[in-house]
Amino acid sequence: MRMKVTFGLFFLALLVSGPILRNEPYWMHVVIICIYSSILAMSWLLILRIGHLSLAHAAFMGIGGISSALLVMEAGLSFWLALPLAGLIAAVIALVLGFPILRVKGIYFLIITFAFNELIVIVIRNWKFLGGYVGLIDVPRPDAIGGIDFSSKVHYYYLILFLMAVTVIVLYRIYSSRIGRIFTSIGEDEDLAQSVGINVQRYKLLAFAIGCFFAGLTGSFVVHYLNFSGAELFITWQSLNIQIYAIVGGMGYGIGGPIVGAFFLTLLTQFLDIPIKAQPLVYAAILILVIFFLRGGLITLPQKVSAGIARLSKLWVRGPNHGTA
Amino acid sequence: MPLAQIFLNALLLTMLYALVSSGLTLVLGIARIVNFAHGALYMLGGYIVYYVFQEAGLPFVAALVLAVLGMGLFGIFLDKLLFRRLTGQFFAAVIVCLGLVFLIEGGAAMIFTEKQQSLPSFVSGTVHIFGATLGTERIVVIVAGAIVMLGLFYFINRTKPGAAMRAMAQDSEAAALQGIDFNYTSALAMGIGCGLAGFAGGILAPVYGVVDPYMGQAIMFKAILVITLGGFGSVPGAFIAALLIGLVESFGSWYIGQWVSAVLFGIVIVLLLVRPRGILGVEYIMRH
Amino acid sequence: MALLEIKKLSKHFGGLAAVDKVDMEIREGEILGLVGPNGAGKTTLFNLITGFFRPTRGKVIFKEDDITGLKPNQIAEKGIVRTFQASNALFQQRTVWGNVLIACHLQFKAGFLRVLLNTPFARQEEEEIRRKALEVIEIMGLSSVKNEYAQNLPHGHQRMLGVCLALAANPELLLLDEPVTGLTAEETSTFMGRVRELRDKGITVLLVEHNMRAVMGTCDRIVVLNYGKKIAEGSPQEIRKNEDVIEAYLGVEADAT
Repeated sequence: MRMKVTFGLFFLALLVSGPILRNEPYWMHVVIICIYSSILAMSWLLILRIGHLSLAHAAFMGIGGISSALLVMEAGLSFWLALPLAGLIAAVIALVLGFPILRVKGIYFLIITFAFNELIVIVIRNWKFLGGYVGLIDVPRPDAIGGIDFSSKVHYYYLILFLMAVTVIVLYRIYSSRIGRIFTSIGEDEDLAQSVGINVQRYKLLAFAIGCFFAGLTGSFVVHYLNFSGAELFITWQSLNIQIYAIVGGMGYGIGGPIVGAFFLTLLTQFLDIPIKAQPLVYAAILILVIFFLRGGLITLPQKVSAGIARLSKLWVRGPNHGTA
Repeated sequence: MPLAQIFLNALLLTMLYALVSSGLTLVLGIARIVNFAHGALYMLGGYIVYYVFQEAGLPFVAALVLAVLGMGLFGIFLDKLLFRRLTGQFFAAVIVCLGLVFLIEGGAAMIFTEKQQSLPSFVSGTVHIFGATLGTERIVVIVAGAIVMLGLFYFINRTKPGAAMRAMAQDSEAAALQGIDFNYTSALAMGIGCGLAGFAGGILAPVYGVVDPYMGQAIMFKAILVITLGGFGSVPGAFIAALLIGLVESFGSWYIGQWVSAVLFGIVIVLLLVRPRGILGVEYIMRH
Repeated sequence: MALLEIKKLSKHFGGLAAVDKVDMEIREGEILGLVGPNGAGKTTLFNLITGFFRPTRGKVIFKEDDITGLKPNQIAEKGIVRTFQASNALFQQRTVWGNVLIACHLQFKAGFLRVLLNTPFARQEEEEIRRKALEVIEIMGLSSVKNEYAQNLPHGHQRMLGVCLALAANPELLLLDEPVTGLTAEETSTFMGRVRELRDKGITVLLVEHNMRAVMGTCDRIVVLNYGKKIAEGSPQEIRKNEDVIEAYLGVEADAT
């Protein structure tokens, strides 16, 4: 436990001081992607915890993003109001959608969320108001506050880092409390949870709404960061991408896993200079390997390695024949 | 008179969807996994025909047979390598299948390049029926598809291995008690199911005239819609559903164009909420 | 006094009546046995009472309250809690202690926001309930294994844990679904002893069981089902001599005492 905290703090310090250590737009851009990807992955994992695999997470990101863009561009709201509203709108839609769909079994829920994501993409593409095929261009930057006018990547960097901190704190509180216990118990055995008095439907809706809230929030950030909102940002492949981050990182760790996965895969793509076209292939290959050989995800690697070393060193000390009659 | 045209187009779609979906539903009944990568097999079938028929110049029928055999064997391979290890693990199986899609498509994109490749039809000329004009190959596909579906029905309902498959799909425990050879039946079902996808991809490639690595995606979605409507695990259900969807899509795209896809997606959602059993399916128990 | 009344309760699956116009009552403070051959409808009846199935017809009335058709968690809130037949109806990945803590759910009052913000009220409540959970574990004699993972427990302990979970939900009426199947004679008698202790503490018990010895020895009254219908009702002595019951169990007689 102490290991986790120290490592987490070290990682946080690294992130906070990043732009100071290396003030280079390209790398800040990459890390910004890592950070918002981890928010998406963490919030998706929360939904998986209650036993539902959602393929609609990108759609909710889109709902948040487009809402935010429209609130600012059409309704004249300040970004700082549009940001939380985007999250709320996504959460409300999640509640409305969740009400019927959270009652159905895993595979049906999966197909429904898949269909929902596709539906949203089609609606966006065919409705000029939401962007159409071209998308919404010239989405304005966040309104300036204090001296920060978002003309430089550093400003965005610290904004998304702040959002990630919020996400981590909220999720940490949830997972270390009774609420987290309830969520995971629902994911493990719904019937049993019901029989001890847990209102499964209510808690499922809660988890789903919270997860989609953060997706919407992230969506808002992304469109104001890229100054663009297009359907291609929210396609179903993105939903799968998000899953891959969480699973490769480690499904068992609600906060650490997705962060590890998002950072690892995004940075890997950069380091190995993997062309965009090959990215799905590489990600999918890693995903399948992880499922078969390292089910716990990359985050369990240090544990497994040290356990392996411990076993090997015992063997070395005792010798392979020690202990046999 | 567009009516006949639309209707015949619907029949073509019906055959396409029926072939792909019955394969999918067959695999589902046996491996208890919705193989999201089924569409990718359709795509590979198309590419096999492209390379054998168009590039190597061999007769079309030979190319088609290779597509079927190739995908059949690939399916059995996937089953033994991956699906067998994932029995009972719902989430893992889903994730692996989703990953497979991108693995296969990504691999295809790298090997075959992302560009669309074109290939000619396997038979030339046009046919006039009921005032509609169709390329001959479309009629051939409709007829060939019908024959294959009939063969499939016969196989499933009148032969021993077919009966074994039905038994396994409905209740694998009871089937085991009856002494059904699981390994053999599974392999057979996977082979046939995936072979059907290869057949569909292979025979339709020359009809549509193009192949590209992502052409399986649209098909996959429709196939899921069809097996949902028809009922998970039911081959006759898949056929009826394919007919309905084919008609809706054909008439729909004529009258409301692009939005027909949205309508179809909406239908899936409502369907799964109201009657996940589908038309003929038996809602089988997902064992944990 | 009748704690639970079941009036003309029926459940049809397709054309088949799994439970057919059953009338019965459970009296406060008693241990009622529900027996019958396999497929007689006992577990279906359980499911109907606890809200896992909706009845096709009929009513379930608990303390003058019509609870027909309520959801399982609502019924648990009212005070009726059940165990499940499969011994793996536990939170497998958690320890005994973790399992019971979850099952204490109904005892918590602090709402979502308070828990999230970790208010003093929430923290205090958490501590209190943790103590109560330990008490429940002690009552069922599982203190020695409280840190074991549920899936690693031997059969007998798993059954106890199942009852523990039900107890943690503070039931007035406890429904036990074949709790001693697969247990040794010694484990069975220990278990039954505990059931009697629970009754002495004021919990009414409805017990479904195949094991006739356990049923005869512990239950105050017995109801017999066959093919979904109630065919007999009475004290263990009366039931033992009842001809319909003997006929229903023909072939299974070897198991009965």
